[in-house]
Amino acid sequence: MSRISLELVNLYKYYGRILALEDINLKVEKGELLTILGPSGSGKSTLLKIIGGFEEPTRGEVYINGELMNGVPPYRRPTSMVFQDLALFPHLNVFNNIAYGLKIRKKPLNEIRSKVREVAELLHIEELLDRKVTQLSGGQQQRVALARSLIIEPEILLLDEPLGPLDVKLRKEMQLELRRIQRKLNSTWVYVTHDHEEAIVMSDRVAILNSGNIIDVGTIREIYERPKNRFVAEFLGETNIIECIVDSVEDNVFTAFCGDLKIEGEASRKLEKGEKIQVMIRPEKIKIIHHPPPANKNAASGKIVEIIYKGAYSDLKIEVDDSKIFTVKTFEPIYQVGEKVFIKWDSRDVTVISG
Amino acid sequence: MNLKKIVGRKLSITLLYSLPAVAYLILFFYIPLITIIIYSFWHGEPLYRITRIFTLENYVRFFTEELSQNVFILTNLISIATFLVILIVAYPIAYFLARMTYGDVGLKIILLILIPLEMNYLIRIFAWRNILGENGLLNNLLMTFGLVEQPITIFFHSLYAIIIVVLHNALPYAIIPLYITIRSIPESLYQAAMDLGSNKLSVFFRVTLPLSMPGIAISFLFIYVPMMGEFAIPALVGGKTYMLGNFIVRQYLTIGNWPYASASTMSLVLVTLIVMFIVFKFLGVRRLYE
Repeated sequence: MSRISLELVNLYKYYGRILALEDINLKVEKGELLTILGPSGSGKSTLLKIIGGFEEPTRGEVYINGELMNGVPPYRRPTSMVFQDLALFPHLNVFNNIAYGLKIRKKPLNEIRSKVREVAELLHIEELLDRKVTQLSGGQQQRVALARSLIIEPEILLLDEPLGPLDVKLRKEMQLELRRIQRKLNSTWVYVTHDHEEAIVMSDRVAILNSGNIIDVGTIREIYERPKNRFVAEFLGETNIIECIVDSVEDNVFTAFCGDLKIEGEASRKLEKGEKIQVMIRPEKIKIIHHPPPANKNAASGKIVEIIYKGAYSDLKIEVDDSKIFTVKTFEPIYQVGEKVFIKWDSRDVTVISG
Repeated sequence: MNLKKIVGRKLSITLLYSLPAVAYLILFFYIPLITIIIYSFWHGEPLYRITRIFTLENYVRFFTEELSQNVFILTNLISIATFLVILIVAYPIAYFLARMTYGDVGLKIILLILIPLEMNYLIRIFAWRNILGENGLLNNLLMTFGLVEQPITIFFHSLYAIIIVVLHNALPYAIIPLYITIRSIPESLYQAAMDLGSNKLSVFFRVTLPLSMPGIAISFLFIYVPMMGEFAIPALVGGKTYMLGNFIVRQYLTIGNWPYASASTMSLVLVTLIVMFIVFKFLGVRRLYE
């Protein structure tokens, strides 16, 4: 028995002459929650529809549990989808919506009843079973859609931006709840979203999709801290990207000049002296200090030009000597625009993202 | 200016605007209707002999006499049969237009179906006489190709002729509401049903059909209600078929028992209203505009 639930091999999708997906290769392990993260129009919904069987790939193969799924209609696939608009049946009440899949499978009524109850308890909607779906709130409809898919125990659950229409507070609650349910059931989920914060909270692994290409796959931590390129780095949240020229490389540690700055960091790949590179430092990794730093590398002095108050923290825009603007996250609201400060960072937090 | 004056002026302008329509309705709808209601409670005999005394005998006669009972039942059966035939023809057309065409192509095709209906109602019926009649197009074709020896008669002066003509007349009234309801079912519902294990047939019976019930109900009303009062089509192509409309026309014009004819009319109106009420109440028509 293979541990791979879903495998996509050299997948292409054309709409007429428009390329929607290009050479997608992806493996999802059993019990894993993989997020497909990408901006709108990146092809993530198309990818999900191909896995669910609503669209056929132009080229390439879809394997579920090692079985080739090309040409298999949705009703014969061991997948289930939670749709973006939820697609609850308006002519059925909550109970019958949830029971739909079991009724199609002609299960005995008492089994249907007990299973609906079970899944309704898991999602805390056991009080709503007699209601019409049109009488439910957004969050409740969300749960019903999830229950309807979970009850047929799909091998892979596909979720197409299901939390989109909810307000922020409810969305955050649902994210944690979904994660809890996924861990409890230990089932394979493929979750599509354009919200990087959602991806960070929810996923075991993330695949970053941009204009039909998978750019990066890995655990959220790997991708957040060691993004493959500038697009990924910027998509996962605010960051500082600095253009540098490599000065020396020694024992996996490189030194580079970036204008007046001297930056030292780990060389994650082979670097040549004189090579032009981009390095990334996340705003939360930069510390503000009030005295001049002891060393002249991985530090700078500058002036605060803007403060963006975000409640729990603030983003400071700091202009360093040669007009570079650094974004620095701080939890201490003690600074003022125009104040002169020193900043420093650790060489561990410097990431080379491209050459 | 105080509020009362503004409201008062607004009200008077509204009244002024609605005056022509109200006058028209009162003159040509409410006065005749009330006249019929009053007549239906008077005593009447053939040849326009009317005694102005209050009686329920006309209603009692309509619902108890065998002739009127039979005509009433037959008319209902024909109306329902016609509706079913039209539904079977219209549903696939509406389904195709709603789901297989893009943009407003479906609406344009519906417009094409509507255009022949601009032609006068009686002319259309006469056209059908020329097609279905003993020496009509249909029989000519059948005989030319040697399919029949003698002209066939079942399509003329028969129940079938009525259904064929009504099918032609009423098809758009079924296609349009069906098109609208089927079109309004989101694509994701079909996908969700398939996702949960429904094959195409099961999607149709569990999702498409229940969700197009409002459209079916509306087309039922569009066809059943006028059909209950129809008299021209049975008279011109129906042969011996005798519907409630013909029955009432005969009571008014040939026999001349106006109170009985009026009571028959009011009974027809009453039954139609009850049927409409039931359809509106139980077939989810309200979902259409909620």
